[in-house]
Amino acid sequence: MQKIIAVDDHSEILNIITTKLSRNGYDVTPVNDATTAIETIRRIMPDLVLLDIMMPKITGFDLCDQIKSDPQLKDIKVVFLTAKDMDFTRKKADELKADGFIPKPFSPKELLSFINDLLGKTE
Amino acid sequence: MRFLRKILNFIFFPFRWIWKKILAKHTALIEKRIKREIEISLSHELRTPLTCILAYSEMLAENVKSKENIEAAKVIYNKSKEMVRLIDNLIEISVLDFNPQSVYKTQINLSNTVIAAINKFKFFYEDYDDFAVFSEVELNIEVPGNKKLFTLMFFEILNNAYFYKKPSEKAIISVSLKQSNNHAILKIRDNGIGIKDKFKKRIFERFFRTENGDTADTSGMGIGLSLVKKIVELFDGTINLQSTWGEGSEFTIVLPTKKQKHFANILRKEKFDED
Repeated sequence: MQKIIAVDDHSEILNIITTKLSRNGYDVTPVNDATTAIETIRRIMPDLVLLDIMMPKITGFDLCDQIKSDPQLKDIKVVFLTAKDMDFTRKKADELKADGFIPKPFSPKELLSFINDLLGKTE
Repeated sequence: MRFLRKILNFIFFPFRWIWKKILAKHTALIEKRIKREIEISLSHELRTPLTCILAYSEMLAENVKSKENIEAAKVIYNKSKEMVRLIDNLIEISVLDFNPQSVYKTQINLSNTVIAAINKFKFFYEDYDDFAVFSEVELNIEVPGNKKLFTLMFFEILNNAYFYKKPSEKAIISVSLKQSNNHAILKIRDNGIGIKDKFKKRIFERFFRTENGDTADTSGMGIGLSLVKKIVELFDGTINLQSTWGEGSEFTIVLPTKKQKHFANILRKEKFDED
């Protein structure tokens, strides 16, 4: 089973992601506190990390940078899931070599289909 | 004494003028920054709760059993999608009003963007079967543009065609995109109620809506088409409307396929930290 870590400071949004993706065959670990996310990522070694951008103490951009610049973690796919849908955030995501950018509000159906495509899973 | 004051005024005039200019520029910069902060927080604070409403209603509609509950969940889902569209339009129009230089302009594949907008439109109204979109899109036409704004622009014209359809008929919308010399020409035609001659000049004005009797049970704020015109003009394009009351409308957008000279200088390099 493919593993996904979702990092967001809004527990309701984590709940939506976890419910939708778990029901469709993914092993999802929700992380509410971004400061502990990198430890969880190292421990679980997921196939994909879903990241909010605006979080307290550490931004999604910082986390993405840590993942993509670490030789052991760099192959993990990173997808931003954010309400901060602006040109400069999309550009920054590109610069950090993120694998996707999904603006909030998102449709769980669309999120699932995007992740299936990215991880090569057929429905 | 009066003479001395005049001489002093004369001597200090250039300094006062420079000081006023500096002050005005500083105030404008502060205002711009405040407006930008408002845009960002509006965008974030409104989108986050809407994510929950939209996503939970979609999941509810998939899982509830009774027909009434499915209908109720679908109404919440569709209305919140509509609210997201209105908020997005308000945010984009405020960005274009106050901070147009923050818009990135790059070479984009217009053909793919038009196809993406048609798909977005079909997905947006997936629960409705009272429309059909036919498209004839020449592949790989490239123009200087902004993918997000162009998708929004094409979506808004399609949306307009659907909103102003004849009440008892299916909306038939035809989209064609082709390249001619150094221009991309996009035409979106519909079989809707059309626009009366007296309104044609005002249709791109912000908050303008045709009189109640002419609308086909539509909602909205009259922002969509003014946003479309603003986007077209930002990218040195033109938009024209041909419409016959009772027969339908055709919007023609012409965009240059070559990079304009001033484009290269207005790309802004922003750092996330600075915001």
